[in-house]
Amino acid sequence: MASTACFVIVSRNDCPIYESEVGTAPKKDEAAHLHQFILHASLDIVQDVVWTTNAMYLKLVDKFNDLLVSVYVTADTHTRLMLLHDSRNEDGIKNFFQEVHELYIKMLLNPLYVPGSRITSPFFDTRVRTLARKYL
Amino acid sequence: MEEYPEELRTPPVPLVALVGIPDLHAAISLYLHRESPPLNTLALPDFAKVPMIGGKERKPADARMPPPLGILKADWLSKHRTRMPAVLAVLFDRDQVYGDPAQWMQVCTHLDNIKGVIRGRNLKLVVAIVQPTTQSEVNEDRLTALRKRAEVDSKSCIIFVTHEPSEMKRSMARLGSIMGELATAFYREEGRRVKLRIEKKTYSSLELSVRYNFKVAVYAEFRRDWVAALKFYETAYSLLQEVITNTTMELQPVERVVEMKAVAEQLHFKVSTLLLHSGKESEAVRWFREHVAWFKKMVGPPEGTFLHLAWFSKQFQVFAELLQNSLAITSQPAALAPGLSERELQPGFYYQAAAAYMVRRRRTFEAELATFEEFEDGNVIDVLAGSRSEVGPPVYVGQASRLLKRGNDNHSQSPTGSEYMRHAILMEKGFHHSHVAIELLTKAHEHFKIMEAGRTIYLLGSEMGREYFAAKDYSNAKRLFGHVAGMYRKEAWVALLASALAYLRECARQLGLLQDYVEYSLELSTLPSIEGFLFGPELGPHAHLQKEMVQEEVLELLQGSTQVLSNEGDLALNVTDLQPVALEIDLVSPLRAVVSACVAFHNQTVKPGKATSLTIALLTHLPLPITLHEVEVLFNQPSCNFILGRNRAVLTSEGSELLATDSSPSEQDVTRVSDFDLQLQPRKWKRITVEITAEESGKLECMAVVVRVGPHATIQCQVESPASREGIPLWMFESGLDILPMADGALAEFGQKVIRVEEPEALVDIVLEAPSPALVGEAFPVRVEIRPMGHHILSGDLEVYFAPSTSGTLIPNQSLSSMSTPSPVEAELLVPAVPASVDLVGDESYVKFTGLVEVPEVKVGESWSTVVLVRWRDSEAVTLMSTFVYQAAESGHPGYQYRLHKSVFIECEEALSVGHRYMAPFRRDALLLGGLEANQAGKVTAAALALKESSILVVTFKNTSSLPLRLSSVGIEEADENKCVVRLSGGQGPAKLIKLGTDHLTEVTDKEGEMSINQLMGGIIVGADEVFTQLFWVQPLVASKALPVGTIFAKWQRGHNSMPSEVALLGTVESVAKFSFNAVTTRVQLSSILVESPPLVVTLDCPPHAVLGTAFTISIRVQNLTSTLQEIFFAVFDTTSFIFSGAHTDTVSILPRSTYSLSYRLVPVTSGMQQLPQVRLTSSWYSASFQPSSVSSQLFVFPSAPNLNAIQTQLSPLEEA
Repeated sequence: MASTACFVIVSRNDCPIYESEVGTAPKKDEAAHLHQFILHASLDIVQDVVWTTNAMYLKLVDKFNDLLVSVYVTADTHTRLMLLHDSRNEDGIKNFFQEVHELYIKMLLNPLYVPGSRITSPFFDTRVRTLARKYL
Repeated sequence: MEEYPEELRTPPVPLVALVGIPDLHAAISLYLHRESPPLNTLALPDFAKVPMIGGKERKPADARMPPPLGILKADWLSKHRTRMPAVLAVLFDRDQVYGDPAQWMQVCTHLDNIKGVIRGRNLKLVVAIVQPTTQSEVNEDRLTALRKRAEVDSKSCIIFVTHEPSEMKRSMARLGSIMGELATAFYREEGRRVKLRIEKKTYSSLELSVRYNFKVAVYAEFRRDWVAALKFYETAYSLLQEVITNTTMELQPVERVVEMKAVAEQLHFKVSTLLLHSGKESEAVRWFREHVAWFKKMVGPPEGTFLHLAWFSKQFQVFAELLQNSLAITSQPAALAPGLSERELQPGFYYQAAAAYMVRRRRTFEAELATFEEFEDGNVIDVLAGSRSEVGPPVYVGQASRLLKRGNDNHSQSPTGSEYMRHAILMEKGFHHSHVAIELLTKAHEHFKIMEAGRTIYLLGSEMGREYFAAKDYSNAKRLFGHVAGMYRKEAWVALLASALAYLRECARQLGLLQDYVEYSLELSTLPSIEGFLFGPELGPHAHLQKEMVQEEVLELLQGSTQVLSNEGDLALNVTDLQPVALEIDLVSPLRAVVSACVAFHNQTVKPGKATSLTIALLTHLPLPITLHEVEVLFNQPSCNFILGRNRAVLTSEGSELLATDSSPSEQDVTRVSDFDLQLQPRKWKRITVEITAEESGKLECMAVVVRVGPHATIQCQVESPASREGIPLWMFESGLDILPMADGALAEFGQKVIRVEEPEALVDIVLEAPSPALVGEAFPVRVEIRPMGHHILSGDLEVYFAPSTSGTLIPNQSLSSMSTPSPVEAELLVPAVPASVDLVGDESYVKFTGLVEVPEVKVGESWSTVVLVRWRDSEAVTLMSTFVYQAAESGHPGYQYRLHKSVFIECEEALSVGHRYMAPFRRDALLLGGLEANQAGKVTAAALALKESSILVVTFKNTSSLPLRLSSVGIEEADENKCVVRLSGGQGPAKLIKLGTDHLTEVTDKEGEMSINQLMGGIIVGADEVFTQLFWVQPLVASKALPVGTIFAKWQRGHNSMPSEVALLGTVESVAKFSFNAVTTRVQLSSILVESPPLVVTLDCPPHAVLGTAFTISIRVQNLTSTLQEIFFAVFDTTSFIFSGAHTDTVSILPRSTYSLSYRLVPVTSGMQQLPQVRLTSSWYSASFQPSSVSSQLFVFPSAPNLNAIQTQLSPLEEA
């Protein structure tokens, strides 16, 4: 079954530093930015929810029709990994977030990468897409 | 929700009917309506109308039911709420019942008729006999007959009293309760009857199951059994789902799908209302979620998709309204159930979703309409839009209207599929999707605003903007997108910003706003994104944009080579001389990415008239290279502005060209430099270095760079210093842009857009000369000399003032002018007085000096000087400042005022310190009671002197400065000659003025100010730290507790005129005279003395010396100055040096005003300085004793009688030698 998934990393100053459509559904018109609209609006809820829990994985925080938003917040830099999806595969999403977080930490270890700047590494992109295929 | 019929929206109320005695109907109706639970009343005016409430013949419960034509009857619910009563109350007048047989017969007839009508319907009957009072005779037979006739039990046959208010009320209550009871019973029986039918399963179709369950639920609602009602509604709902599952929705005609969804909607509405009514918000939300999820797939045939979406939108909207009403009633927020997010309990969430479906409905319908108009013949009329007589309401819920002319049965009256669709499409065409969507979004916005969900509001804003755009309300759309773009710009969500900008650009195009169109296009084309952007279908052909295309288009527009059509081609945007475009980019503008300019001077300061290098760096983030026509650089000094022109042949763009401006002023006043390569490469700094010359001193700041991109299009861009440059927010974190604006690293790090143009150098020297240190009180000369070192001074002003001292006390120049008032200034400025001057300072020949001197014309090589005198009041060092402002005769800067400062530090010392003390005369002491008291009390008071006795005053003058002083005269000015006489010691002359020294050349004149230099050369020199002592006699003449004595004065002068020899050489004779120091008179007021007349005076008479072995006499004379007898006790302390004769101890009495002499004969036995025997005197009257000090009672004893003549002869040959 074709699934929709849009993955965005939002830096601590609320701007997206990485975005990719990782779903298997064919790209529709306007879908890409509709997804971003939803994710952007979900930041409102994330900033409320993040103070209510100690966990980094915030699970499902928002839904828009049949599109769901799951969020993972890193502890130190308050970077938010946000996934817009339509499947309810909670374990897979959790694993996906954990692996991407690991990838992101490796990214931060790169001395040439300025924290908070846009992630343009093709390696990172490929790995994220592989993880998405594996878990989502 | 408002579009639902009343009977669906409100909970059902049992219906009862009244007949007979119409006068009472209104009162009873009102009462029953107010009853709790309320009852609705159907009042029948007379018995002829009774058949109206009779229903059709009921089928038996086990009758076989044919498959129905629809699921729910459209008017069933309203029928039961308004036309089918549960109870019928028959009112008979008392007279009719108990009256004559004819009347009784009529009652019976009425009852028979009623029974005939209600037979099939199980309707409950109540009979009320209306009588005015309770006290009426009752015919029991008739009553029993009536009950029997009406087939009611005694409970249902009541007496209704009308004329006694309390009884009438009771009757009403009785009627109400019995009717309520019977109504409940009726609905229960009805429900049971329908339930029986369900249980018996005498039908094959599921539709009927749905219908019966619905009916049971409604009956339960009638009796307010909400739990049962909910149960049966849910059963009906799930049965309906079964109906739908059994059919293939895609193959069903649209009207069938619509019908089923309409029924589902009604059932869902009832379920939701009941759930919310019982306060189960979470359950309602979960129920709604399942409802939506289940029906999401039930789209039906594709041509009816928009109807499906309309239905969906309505579901969300209605649920939002229900939730909103429910939340408005329950004040506390519902507890969050697991699995539900907080948003799902907010009506705003559902309004937003409803709006989203509304938007989809519009889009789907637009596509559907296009197809429809393509294939449909325009002449075919919409049969369903006919008049009321032709088109009837549907029989079943959700079905189409009936065409009444087509026959009698339901089947033939229904329209065909194509007719139905045509009607639906034409109805939809008149529907304002956008308005409804905006309304929904506005409601959602209100809710989210309460929740302070900022970003969600922006999402709603952008959706609203899109709807306004779809509704062609461009100005509103532009306003909304403007807000939204600000947010996305701030948080750098590029894709979202791009979407907003694309809409804004289109709005500007449609509204014919040229400047806005250009700005949005430029911003859009400078966004950091890799691919093109995707936008909503509202934008039509502009939905798919490429940055490069946008840039090309807008640049062509700016260059005037093309124009952009707006508003379907009736208004064209083009840049002409009448419609120029002038963009301004400041440091916070989003257009900084289009052109940003960095300017750095190579130096920090420059001398006026000298050229300095300036580097201008330009950067663009446009995706394609852009060629500028010219670049104008603006400064705060307009004379420095210049224009960089473009070269004809494009040079290599690498590197920076260094070009010296030839500064040839063209026809315009702006310098124009040509031949620059002004092509900007994307994201690559273009650096241009030019030389500029600032003429005016002060700050030269580069303000802006104006870039001309077309004949009538300019972009003014505020410049930044490389040192303080901030990145462009959207591009800050993009990779590959770490190039510094300046090639030179230091310039890129610290370069400034401001340069300080120095003041022209003053070619004049000021010399301040002062022989340090100064002494307090003297007029200390300071010489100020102005020497031109290259400038011919035309005129100037010299200002001399004290600098604020380091200790913090301020000596402002202004306060010097107000010397009369005491001020904390330690020093003052003076100049020698002109004879005409009136405001002399004290008695001296100096006047106060304001500090300002006008300087005349001084040529190069000459010099001008003046002397300023400074007088100190206290020894404190000061800094004397001088400021010279002048105009030079040099060409180039006419009228320019040069300015220079100079200061000198001058120390100051106290010159003389004057001290004094009083001493009693030798071996003569007076008893001073005041002095004794003071001594006993330990207080230090003024010196106590005896009246009319001469005391000695010792005055010392100590030189405390480091310079030798010439003391020319000292003296004491008596305060009052008649009270206290002061004489010079050693003579009887007055102590007023004592000339010191021996080399006086001339006589002292009366006026000290006229002394010549030669006069002052006299006096004695007192070196540093040396002391000069002078003695005076003081004889007070009157007794006083505080007698002023006088003032010590000392006139002194510097010992040497120690001016530097250089000054003496350069200065004229006059200036030497000015440099001489004046004589200063220091005055010290003597403190007051205590004078009293002594009661006793003791005098020791003793020879000056004694010879060993030779007897001599000493006498101690005690003088009694009082008028009483004084008793004196004396005691002699023996010494080994003398043998003496006389009384050792005794007490003697001294007569008033007489003297007692106590004499002793002494023979010295030891030579040398010897201590005389000491006599201690004690006055018993004053209880004071006196013993002379050992120093005053010493005597030298010669071993043998001295030969004074021999000594004289021995000394004289020595003197001659």
